[in-house]
Amino acid sequence: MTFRKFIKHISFVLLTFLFGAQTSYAKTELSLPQNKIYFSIEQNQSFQRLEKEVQPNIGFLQEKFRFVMSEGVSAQNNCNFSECFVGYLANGVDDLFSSFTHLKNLPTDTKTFLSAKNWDNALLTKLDGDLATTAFKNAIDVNPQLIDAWEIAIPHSGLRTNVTALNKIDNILSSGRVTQSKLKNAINGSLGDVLNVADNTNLGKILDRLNLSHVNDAHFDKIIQRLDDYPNLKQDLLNHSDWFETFDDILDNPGKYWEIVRGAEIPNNAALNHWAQGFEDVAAYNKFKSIHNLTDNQIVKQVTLLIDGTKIRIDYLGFKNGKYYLGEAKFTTKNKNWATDWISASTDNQKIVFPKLENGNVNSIAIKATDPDKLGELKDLFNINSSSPITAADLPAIPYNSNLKMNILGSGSNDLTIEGISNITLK
Amino acid sequence: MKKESIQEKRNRLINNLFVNFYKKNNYNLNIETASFYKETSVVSWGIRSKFEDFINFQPIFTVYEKSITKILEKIFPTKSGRISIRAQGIQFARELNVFDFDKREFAVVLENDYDFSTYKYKIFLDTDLIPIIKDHIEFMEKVTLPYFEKLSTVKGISNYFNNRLLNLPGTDFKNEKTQDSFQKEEVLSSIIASYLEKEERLNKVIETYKKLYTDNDWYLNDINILDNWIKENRVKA
Repeated sequence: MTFRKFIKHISFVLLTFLFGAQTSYAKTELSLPQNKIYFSIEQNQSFQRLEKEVQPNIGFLQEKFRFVMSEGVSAQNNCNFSECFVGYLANGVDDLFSSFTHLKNLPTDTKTFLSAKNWDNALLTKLDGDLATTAFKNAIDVNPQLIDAWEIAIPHSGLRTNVTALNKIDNILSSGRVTQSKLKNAINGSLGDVLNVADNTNLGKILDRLNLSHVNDAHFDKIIQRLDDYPNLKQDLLNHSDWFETFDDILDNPGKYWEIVRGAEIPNNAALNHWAQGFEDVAAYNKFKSIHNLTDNQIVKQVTLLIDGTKIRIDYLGFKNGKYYLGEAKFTTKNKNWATDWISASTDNQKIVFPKLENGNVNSIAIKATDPDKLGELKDLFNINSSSPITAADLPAIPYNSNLKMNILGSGSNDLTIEGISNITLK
Repeated sequence: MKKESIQEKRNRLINNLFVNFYKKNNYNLNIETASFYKETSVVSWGIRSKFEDFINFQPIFTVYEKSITKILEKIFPTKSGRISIRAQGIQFARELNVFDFDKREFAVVLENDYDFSTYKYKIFLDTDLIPIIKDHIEFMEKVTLPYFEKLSTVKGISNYFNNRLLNLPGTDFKNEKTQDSFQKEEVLSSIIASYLEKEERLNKVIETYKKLYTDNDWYLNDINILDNWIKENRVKA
């Protein structure tokens, strides 16, 4: 930087500060007798945008001036100030961006907006490069606030110059429901990965969805948590961005989980259908072990039983000290009273069999298995002596007497924790 | 290039473990049953649970001792003659006073309940197998092989189980958790070990087990069968 440029730069910064301080006083004086106008500013701008106003800066002053003018407020002092201010500013920011190919050609308003960000050279260079895209530059010319949206979308090259997407991001910010930092965090993370691979149609749909009234900071937390905790779920959305609406529906209406999944016709192998697995595989399993003081080698998971000719699959079959333990995990997104609701949560065949177990009408319980892995585990479970692989015929029949116990382990609403345990009392 | 199936991925895992660890420790491989075996022990990598897009493994360790197994199979021909069985997990590691696996990524401990935690290797098509292989080998070296070593001799088997039995406080005898702490095959094997070693404490061992399981026919019946067999064979001897 030459000495002349340096002096100009210092002068610009100093004068900016002085004008900022003066305007703060001017604003206070003007606003005091006109409280209604002052409050309407807060109502019409997002909280995040207003956060910027804590520190006097050029961008804010420019916006505030435009607002006051558009509201038709008699503010002679402001008008005079702003005319002077903008006139001065035009020269100052021109010098700031003079070394950038595209930034230097931005309208003064946009330069003013941008200069307030105090970005370093690397970031300005990145923006300058993106402004080579004509459509993007034209959009920025018209609406400087798209620079905020661009900043949020920085990690995603396909997204940050997509004018339609940026306008939608700007709309989300302007809604005031979502803070800029929350949106930035989401788009810099897993949600951004999904947006980046979505085609334009689905990208637009997702961003429109994110501008609905239910989407606030807390909802973004849910989105981020689900995508981060369930990599397969994220993979589903990466492969099928059109599923985002279903994903978001479930987050918004967890009580309708199964109806939504069924209605959306998502394949069985989709992770969206698998949220319950964490419950069956960990929380309910550990609880089942602790209830009966069982060790891992005393339980076989996912066992098929033939009870009086009706086939059911049970999540856990435990065997210890000659006693048999059946366990079934039930995940739900609804509030349940598990003492009574276990039957409605059962499969069709379980609805036939479980009451029989409870009422003492059972004649036979046979273990069915053909899978070599399952048979191997059952062989270990019952300590069966065989030098060759066993078949289901080698497995013992489960007695229906006091040596058999059964539990249904129910989850909390949309939660991978144990909410209730129903002991099916067997006669 | 053809995409690897989950079954092929599992086989790759088993083969990798065999080449990098089990072969060096004199184990044979049965790829059909996904198990590594030699005369005195078996490590089984059977699938614990299957879901649409992933499978869970939790290796199971089984111990045999030639002379004890022979007697067990003679008296209880429908049973496998194993001495003991364990699953890879925090509970087993802690039994050997190893706490290194409490915080592993494969451990799921809810509400600090280490006794009833889960330890599993969850494998998707895109799962990196290296951390699983490393973790399992470390578990084998720190926990399972020392356990196998302790139970590798008749004397060792008697010491491991009978010393603990005879040191139990009298107040623990009605405690279900204490009763559960011995598997039935461990009870029978340790009695046979004491018999084979001609230990003076044999009768005390048998009577103590009978006292511990006085209300549990599932144990007591087989202890009585074994006790009778020992009495008959002692007379013959």
